[in-house]
Parts: sequence; C-alpha cells; structure tokens
Amino acid sequence: MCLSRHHITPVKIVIRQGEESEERELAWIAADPGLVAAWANQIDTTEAAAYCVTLASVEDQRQLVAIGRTETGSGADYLLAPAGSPIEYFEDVVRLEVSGTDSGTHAVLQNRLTEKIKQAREAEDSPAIAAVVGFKILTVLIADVTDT
Amino acid sequence: MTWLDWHRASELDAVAAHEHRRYGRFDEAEVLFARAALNEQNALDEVDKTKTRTVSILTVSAVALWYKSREYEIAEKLAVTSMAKLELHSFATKELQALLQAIWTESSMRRAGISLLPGQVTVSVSGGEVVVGAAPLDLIVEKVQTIQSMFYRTVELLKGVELRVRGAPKPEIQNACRPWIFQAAPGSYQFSVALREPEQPNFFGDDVNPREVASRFLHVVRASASGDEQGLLEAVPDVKYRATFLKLARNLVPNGRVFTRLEIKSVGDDGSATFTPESRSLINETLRPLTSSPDPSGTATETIRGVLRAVHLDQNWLEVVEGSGQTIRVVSLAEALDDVIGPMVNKAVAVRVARSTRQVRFIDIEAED
Repeated sequence: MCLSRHHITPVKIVIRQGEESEERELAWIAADPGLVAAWANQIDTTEAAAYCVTLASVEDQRQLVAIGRTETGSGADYLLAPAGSPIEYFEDVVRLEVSGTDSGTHAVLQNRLTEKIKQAREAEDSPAIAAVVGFKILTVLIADVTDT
Repeated sequence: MTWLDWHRASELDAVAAHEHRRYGRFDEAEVLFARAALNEQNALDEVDKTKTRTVSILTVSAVALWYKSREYEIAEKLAVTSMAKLELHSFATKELQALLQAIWTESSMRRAGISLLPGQVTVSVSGGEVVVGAAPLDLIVEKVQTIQSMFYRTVELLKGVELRVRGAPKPEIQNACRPWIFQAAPGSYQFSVALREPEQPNFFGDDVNPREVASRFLHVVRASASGDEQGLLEAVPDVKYRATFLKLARNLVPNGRVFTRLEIKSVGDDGSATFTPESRSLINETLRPLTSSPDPSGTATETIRGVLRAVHLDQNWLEVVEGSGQTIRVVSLAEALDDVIGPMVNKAVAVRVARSTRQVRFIDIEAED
C-alpha cells in the first residue's frame, strides 16, 4: 500500500549505507480493497511496511535475518543474527531500529536516521542497526549504531 | 520445553494480539497478550540466568506483555522482583522504570474509575538549566499549556470542527476529553499527558477511531519538528489548521539556554518527536508558504523585539514594549490565535510586522529567550 500510493510495480529502490549505495528491484502485489480497508491507519501501515522493506534490505546487504521479536513498552523490537546461525541466546543479537516516511524528502529521511541512531544509542550499548525508509523517494538508509 | 520454545510461543501470540488490536478487537487482543506474557515469563524462568542480555530482553518483553494485557498487578510484581533479583542491563532497567510508571498511572486511574483514551504521551525536557527531575516552573507551565492546546486542536480537527480563531475550545470538547497530566519516570524532567475518555459514547462519530487522537497528535508534532511538509500535509490537510499546529509546535522549540531538547513519545507507539533549537528554522520554513503575504501595498517588513505587554484579540491589536521603553501597537491580528499568543504575554517576543506611515501590521510572532 505504501508503495502503491506513489508508484507502479516494479521499481528500483536505492539502499544507502554511508557513502555507498546500491539499487535493487522491488516488486509487490497491489493491495485489494479489503486489505486497504484493514490497513486504513496510515501511521501503522507505514511503520509495518518500513519493517518489511528494511528486513529485506538488511538481509540483502548484511546477510542478517530476523531471529526474534520481543515486546517493549513502545511496540516491539526485531532482533537480527547472521542467516543460518543457530540461536542459543540473545547475547550477541543485533537490534533493529526502524522508521518510515510516506512522502518525506531526503532531508527528512536523514533527519530521521540521525534521530534513530541517537535513540538506539541511548537505549542500549550493544550492536544495533538503524534504518529509515522513504516510500515516495524509494530510498532506504541503513547505519550501524555502534560505529557511526 | 526450552526457553526458546516458550519464547517462540509468546511471539506467535503477541503478533496475533497486535493484529486483533489493529482491527479494534481489544478484548481478544488482551486475552492473547496475557497468554503471550505467560509464555514469555516461562521462557524467563527456563533461561540460563548468566545470559544477562537474554534475561534483560525477556524480562522487558514479559512485563510489556502483561502491561498490554492490562494485568497491571502481575506486570508490576514481575518488574519489581526482576529488578531486585536479576542482573539486568541498564537498558532493561530504564525500560522497566518507564513501564512501571505507565502501569501505576493506568492502575490508579482504573481505581478512580477514570478511563483514558489509548496513547499516553511522555514529554521530556532536558539540557540547559533543566536537571533530572527538576525544571523552571514557568517553562514547564508554558509547555504544558501548548501541549494541551495541540491536543484540543487535534480533537477539533478529527471531529471536523472549523478552525477556532478566538477563545477556548467549546465546553463540550473540554469536558469530553480533557487532557490529564501525570508524573513520569525519572530522566531529565518528564511528565505524561493523556486524554480522558469521553463519557458520551460515540463522541467522535463513526468515522474516527478514538485511538487516533494520540497517534495523530504524535504524527503532527513529529512532522512539524522534522520539517516533513508532506507528512504534515497528510496528517493535517486543512491549510489553516496546518499553520496553527506549526505555530503551536514552534512554541515548544527549546531556546538553547534554559533547555536544549524537548522530546515527545508515546508509550504505545514507536514514534517520537524531538525539538532542538534547530527545529525553529525547519518549522519556519514549512510555515512560510502557509502564512498570508504581509501587505498588498508592498510595505517593507521588519522585526520588533520586546516584551508582549498587552493583547486584545477581539479588537485586533497587541502592544510590545521595546528595550528603549517605547510601546508599539501592532494591528491586524487576523492570523494570531489565542492559544499561540496567550502563553507569550509578559515574555520577550519577536514580532514580524509590515510598517507603513499610518500603522504597524501584524505578520507573525515568536517567543524569544
């Protein structure tokens, strides 16, 4: 739904990490009226879609996959680990901090990323990845929280 | 079952609970949150306690799930005993403190028979002269007033009320969903605000979900603070409302001296809005095209700085006393709003005006240090 608001499938999306960026093709199935009605709240929809695009992006770029989802007071956290690695404990998992914007500009996206990095740093002194997705401008920004 | 099996079972129930909640099926969601919480607590019981990060993550998760199932006593007990008995990372302690505050607020309101709309927001003021747990009274009073105004404006927007140019909100709106303020968990100076649930059923009509008030409020402040014009346009399609929200949001911007940062976040939402001194220029940039041009005759604009000593919105004038002691009367306050200008009385302001030989006409006003 977030992509359909601005684009027709498929599109090229830019995944940027620092100075490096790569393009990937992104295709989706258009939402039917039932789905549109179920996801009427744009804020929730943007957040869920941002998680979806980010999880695909970090798997593609970092070979990290979601191995857990735990609750917090403010929603839920996704925990990442290298694809195929056995899960014994959550000692070395990477936390994912995500934000999405439907129509934000590049400046808004960068601003959100800075904010997310700050939040993640304040939350926990452990490995974390911050990512923001701009659906209109077809861009994903990814940053390591610990070494940025 | 291993700790991971219990955790996986908890994840499945929690995901299903969130789905029910999104569709407005709150009773079903609470039952599933409770089951997810029990499974997470079993995971916590089974896990090796020397794995302190895993223990910390599971503890926060279990308490959050009990909180979401509205089992406040169980959530409180688990949080307190975990903090006393387990070796937790500092992030977990901070999260548990925030959860405990939300739990105490919700349970005290439940005991008093008061229902709040979902979406309590926490406002945190820090930096400058603000220290942990203490802040200048006038600063906090002013911010509380502005946040209250923004909540009322959000309710009016969602109810489709035409933009209120003068006076307070109608009594029916003030009585139906009055904002309440709560003390909040330690860290900078914090307080929480939530709206009382209207006693009148269906106060918002069929088209508006009451849960939307807090999330729309947060969306508006976040878009305002970050200069996200499109985001603000989506949240507030009406141009006059949009300009009003931006002017109110500008009143929240730190001056950099008394305080340097104001953050608003919601307990039930992942988003947050942060105002820093830099937010002022972003807000002004977004606001500029929304405010009407100063004067058709092309008179030059200037900024008057001084103390706002008098305002008469019904008679369309305000008076500013400059540093030299000279009083300047500014007229044509068409775009000045009670809740924007009210908190500025007797404070230093910068008034943008268009000056002609006969009069000084109002364009915009901002609070100054």
